Amino acid sequence: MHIPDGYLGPLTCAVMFLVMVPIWYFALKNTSKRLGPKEVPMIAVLSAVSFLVMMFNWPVPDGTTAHMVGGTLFAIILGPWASVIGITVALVIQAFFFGDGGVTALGANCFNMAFVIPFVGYFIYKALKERIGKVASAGVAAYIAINIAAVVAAIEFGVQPYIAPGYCPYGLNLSIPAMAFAHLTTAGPVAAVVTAVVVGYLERSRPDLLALKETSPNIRGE
Amino acid sequence: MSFTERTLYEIINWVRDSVFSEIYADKKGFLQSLNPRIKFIAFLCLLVSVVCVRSLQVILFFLLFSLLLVYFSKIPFKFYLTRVLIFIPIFTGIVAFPSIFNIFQQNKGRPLIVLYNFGYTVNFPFLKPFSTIEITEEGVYWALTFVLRVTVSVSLTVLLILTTKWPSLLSSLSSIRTPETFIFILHMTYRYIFLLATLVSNMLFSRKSRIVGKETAIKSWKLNANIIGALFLKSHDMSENIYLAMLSRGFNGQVSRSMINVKERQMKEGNIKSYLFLIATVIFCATILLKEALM
Repeated sequence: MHIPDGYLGPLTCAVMFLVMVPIWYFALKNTSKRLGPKEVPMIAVLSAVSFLVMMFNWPVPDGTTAHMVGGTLFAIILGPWASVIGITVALVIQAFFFGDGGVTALGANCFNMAFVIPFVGYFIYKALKERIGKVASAGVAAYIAINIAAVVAAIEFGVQPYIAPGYCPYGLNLSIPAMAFAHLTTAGPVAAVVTAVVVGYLERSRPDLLALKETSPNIRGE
Repeated sequence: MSFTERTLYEIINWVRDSVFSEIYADKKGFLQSLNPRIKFIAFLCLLVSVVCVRSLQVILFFLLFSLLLVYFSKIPFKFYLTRVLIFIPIFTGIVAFPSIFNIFQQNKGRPLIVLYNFGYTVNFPFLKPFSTIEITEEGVYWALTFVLRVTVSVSLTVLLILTTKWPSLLSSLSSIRTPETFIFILHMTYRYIFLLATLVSNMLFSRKSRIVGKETAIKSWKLNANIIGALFLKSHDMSENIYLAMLSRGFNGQVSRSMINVKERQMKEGNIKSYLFLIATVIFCATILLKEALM
């Protein structure tokens, strides 16, 4: 889902950066207010984790492998605002280091993966966890979140041929089905199962981590 | 190759790549001698212009420009081209190929080669109604423009990465008004990626060395998920210790400029040359964009 440079026209890139600026601003403000200085190293280390999680190869039935973003997992543990920062950090490092995901498309990539995934994932998880349990709701949340993000990404490059030629050449009639199909069948299930298994693992070994959102100030002893 | 091995391979490759690219940042070439902050802004100008220009010929100019920079920065062409071309441009080429056919296009184009004429209108799900399958002139032209644009953007980004050391690259982010807390987190993250990469590869190795026989997909799923869970726990505990270590060294929760700016002295080197390069770049981009706007 990392959109490289050159797929999106200048207008789309500019709009996505403008959309992300207030989100980044609120995320930084919100994170430093609610989480405190202790969470600065925590976000840094967990961003490194999210970077590494994106490197894991998950075998899928067609013989290839898929990667996951881990946005929902982040949001469940740290809350959506801290995830915005954490995943943005991982994406910036990928863009400036790997050349993976474009520099001009950074706004769009951050919107899809650092904003849409954690927020959708977090709120679905929160709504469902009392009813169907933490593990199942984490899986469902991850599945829906990654698919919504994929469709948002498809819309971003699907509108290109209507604006100007020479960028991503496919219209919405092709980009949305292609992205939706890929994520409904491979990347989606990978994200769902991995998120659910990891949440299950954490529930068994450190249940306090999953309750971090509600108890955060007390843990810090303030 | 099993899936565990593939992940291991990817992580080890990544660490090797990042160590390798530091070698070129140390060479005494043209781009390496520039002030990283000014160079960063110049490259942003170039990238934005490449995304803005419309015609194929102009993008070729940018390609030439970036190849010249590669030459003067003493980066071996073979290494550079493999680093640039592998993956994104090749992938983009495959993605763009179908778009030369009229059935996948949004607008009507002049037919170049008619492959098949149905003689009646065909309706196909997700596609616009069509009666012929043909390769169009516009399709070929814009597909080429698209692939070339992506290639040039990647080549510029790789050039910036190869000629700049990571800490100075990060510090140059502050020149485009990135908040200090964010840059500080970036610095920390970058360092801990290496530490955690070692941690993960150790976990994978130790597991791998205890496996006899074939590794099934389901097993490797469970294994990977548990490793990620363990990684989360370990790093969470680690972050608490890091915080305490930072406190004991005088961290008061405030991120100051001195914590993110590495080697101020080094950042001021080569200023005149860098400004000349920046001005040249801006003039280059501005002329090209203006000329195109007037055409």
